Amino acid sequence: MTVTDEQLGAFLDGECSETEAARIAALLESDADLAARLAQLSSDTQMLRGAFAGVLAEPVPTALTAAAAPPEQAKVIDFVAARAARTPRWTPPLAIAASIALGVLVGAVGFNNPANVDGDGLILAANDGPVAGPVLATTLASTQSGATKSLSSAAIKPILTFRDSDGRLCRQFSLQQRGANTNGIACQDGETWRLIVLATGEAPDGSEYVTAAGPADAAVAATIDSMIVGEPLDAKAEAEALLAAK
Amino acid sequence: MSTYEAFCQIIVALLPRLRRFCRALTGNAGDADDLAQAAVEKAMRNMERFREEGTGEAGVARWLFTIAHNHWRDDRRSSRVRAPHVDYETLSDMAGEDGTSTQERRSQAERVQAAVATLHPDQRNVVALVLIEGFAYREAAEILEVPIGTVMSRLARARATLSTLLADERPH
Repeated sequence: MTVTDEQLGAFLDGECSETEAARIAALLESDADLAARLAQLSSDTQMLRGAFAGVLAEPVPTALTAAAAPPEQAKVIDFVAARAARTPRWTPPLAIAASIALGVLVGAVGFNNPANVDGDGLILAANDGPVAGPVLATTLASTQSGATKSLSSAAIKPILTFRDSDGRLCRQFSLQQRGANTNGIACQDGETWRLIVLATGEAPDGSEYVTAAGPADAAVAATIDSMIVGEPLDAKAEAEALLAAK
Repeated sequence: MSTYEAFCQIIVALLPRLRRFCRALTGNAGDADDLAQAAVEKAMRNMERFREEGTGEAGVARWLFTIAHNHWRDDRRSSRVRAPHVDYETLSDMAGEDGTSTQERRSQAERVQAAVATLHPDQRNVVALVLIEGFAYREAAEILEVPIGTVMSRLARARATLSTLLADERPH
């Protein structure tokens, strides 16, 4: 009985059946030529592996690593965190993030005077953080979740209502404006609806809205999880809460 | 962590191996990284399709290497001007400017890599998958979409060729 190169290779690679392995092992005991063939095959294989081992230690090109990274996370502005970290002035990084999220250039808008942040007056910058403009505030105070309030340049849709640990009435809403879909949370503070977070998702090619399960919504959902006390209000509780809050 | 993020992490962890596989297939660092780049981009675009199969890390590796191999194969098929077949003897005998032969000046790793580059593509891919990357015969057959017997016979032929080419490299 002889052992072909193919069989010997399979033996070395641990790819032959137990019966076959036992047969070859037995032959190796007595057949010096076969043992020499196996030794050479093994040494060639080791040399081959060794020759390419260095590639594993090379730094991976950044372009390659970047290609395997999740698409850029949706740009999220967490106003609460931003406020905590903020120096007295409106800092450029936040200004830039806001302009990207809202699709407008904020420029030199400061917090000393209430200013129109988004160009439609839906979101205003105030001394202590962004607040809903009159139209958004009215919509949040009166529109039931799931209904859409259409404006000339935007559409606002409250999504759900909940209470936070301070007992404030808070609402998640989406805002479609100039091809961007912004998802946000605002909480009622007296007459004012304070914006807690705004997240804008941008589709990679700019042609589609981010889907409901996109990273922007995930970021907002995570914020709700961290704020909510109990369950979101159902339709009846929401209607009562909105009526009481007027 | 989302499934998506987990998937990306597995791909990132596989990048050094993917680069090694592509180096063995293409025979040079530049083409190898182009191929790896194309494979990763395609994998990311088709991630949804893969996730439906729901396999683990080994499954992602097989899938990613299949994409890389198919891309390499299609590239060679579509390219009218194929890369010139490297002649190992010419490569070895080339003299450097300082008078020493190229073979002497190159490291053993480079010489072995050059020897692999001279193999027929159908043998090079089994060498890369089985001998260098350590895939099982069955996995290599799956990636290459050939019967397992074909993997075995190609591997044996490749080993015989390499044995001749690498005779000088063996420790005496």
